Amino acid sequence: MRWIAALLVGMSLSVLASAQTPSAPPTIFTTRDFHQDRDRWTDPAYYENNTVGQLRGMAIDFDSGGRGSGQEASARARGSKGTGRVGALNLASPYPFTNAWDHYQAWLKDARGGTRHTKNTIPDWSGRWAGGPVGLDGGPNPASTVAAMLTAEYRERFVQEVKAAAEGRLWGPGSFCLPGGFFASLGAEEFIVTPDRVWTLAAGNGENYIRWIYTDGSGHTAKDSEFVKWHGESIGFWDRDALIVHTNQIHGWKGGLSEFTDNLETVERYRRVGDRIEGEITLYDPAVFVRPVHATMRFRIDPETRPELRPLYNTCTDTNGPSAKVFMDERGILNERLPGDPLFWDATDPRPWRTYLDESDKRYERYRSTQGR
Amino acid sequence: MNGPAPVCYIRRMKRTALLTCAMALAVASPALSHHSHAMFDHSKEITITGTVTEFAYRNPHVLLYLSVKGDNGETVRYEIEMSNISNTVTRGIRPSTFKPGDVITAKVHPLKDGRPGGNYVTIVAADGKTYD
Repeated sequence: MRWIAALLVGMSLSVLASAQTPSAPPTIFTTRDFHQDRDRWTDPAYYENNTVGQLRGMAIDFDSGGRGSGQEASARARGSKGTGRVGALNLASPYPFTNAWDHYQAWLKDARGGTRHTKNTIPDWSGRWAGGPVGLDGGPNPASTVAAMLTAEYRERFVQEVKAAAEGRLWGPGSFCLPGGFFASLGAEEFIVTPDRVWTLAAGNGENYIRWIYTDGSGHTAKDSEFVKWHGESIGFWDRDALIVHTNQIHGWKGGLSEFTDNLETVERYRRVGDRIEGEITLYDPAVFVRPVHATMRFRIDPETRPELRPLYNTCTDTNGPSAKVFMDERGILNERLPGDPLFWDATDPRPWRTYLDESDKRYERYRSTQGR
Repeated sequence: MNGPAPVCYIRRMKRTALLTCAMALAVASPALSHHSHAMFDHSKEITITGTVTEFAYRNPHVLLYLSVKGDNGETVRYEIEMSNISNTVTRGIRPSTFKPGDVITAKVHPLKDGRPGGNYVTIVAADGKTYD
């Protein structure tokens, strides 16, 4: 009897102990409702110290450029611990400016109104380049660092997106043949430099990226003619051999650290140093960022010269098919889907991924419950 | 192993910044518009043999179509999704590599839902050369 009593006492203590042991705080991998974890979104432990790239790598099959699938090279098992290092890369602007125009004007003043180049003095940036912004997805920092740079509303959107990505539920504009947006245009492959204008060109797989940067002093279009454009509207000036660019009228979309609004404005600076072009970009979007965001830009000459690898004009629809907006109806006549029709594409929805992610969250929860998870 | 390219990457970036995500320090992909391959079962590899019907050498994905005889004797049209053109070139696959009528054998990660499609791993061409 004595050992039975001891066993019962032991079991009681065990039950009490387990009841008193605080349960592990939720992570992005264990939470049932991430909306309830607001106070944990800026904690690296919430992401198991994963970087944004590592979280997305749980869903993405990165291409390896000819040596095999990145599925093995970069994909990580969902829930695995990451290698994020707090403070590894400073995402905050080092400049005192609170808006892009003041920033641009200050640099214009420093350049004494800018350097007017001729065909003979314009810097030579010819060649094929490879590069773009460094760490603009948060780089080696844990995802919490990105969350901390965002305002409450955009922080919530960010967590929803990376959580879904880590669960294999990824929304990317390319999957739907939609434009990559402003940040996709920053990976210039060619800089065509003239005294009055600079063009940057890049060939994507599903679209092409062009920017026109007016350095002729003509400035931006008048306020009453402004409208948002996928790559915005860029003007610039030269400070000796450095190009400074101001961009506004950018179509709000996804890219960089997070979603961004139509009010995003940027200031860039580029300079050729040997076989590299070094630069930087500062992002101003007060509704999204708690402080202006800064990233370096890095390009190097691409030694690849094979003719068969020259840039192509690309359209996503070549293999992904035409828009769902227009279809052939039962009469065999081209027709258009309207609001309320199945597969209707709402061209006025500024956040098409919201519809996707919200519906995906619901379906995933249903799926998890049917799987007993 | 080969995998199809995420749609809309900058072409050169793809070749040079593969480990961007893993290293999280390399140059950021400007495209940020990745194509999830959650529809493919990367834990499985199946081998299929069939006759080439079309070879679409196009972006964002090169596509190879095969006529494959199923277990029940019926012929099905099988789609193999490959990488983008520049990566396909890098792997030595050219527009003339596969021609209608060629009998080839491919290893693929199949679609999870069982439909006749898969994500290219390796292909043995009609001349016996293996592309991976």
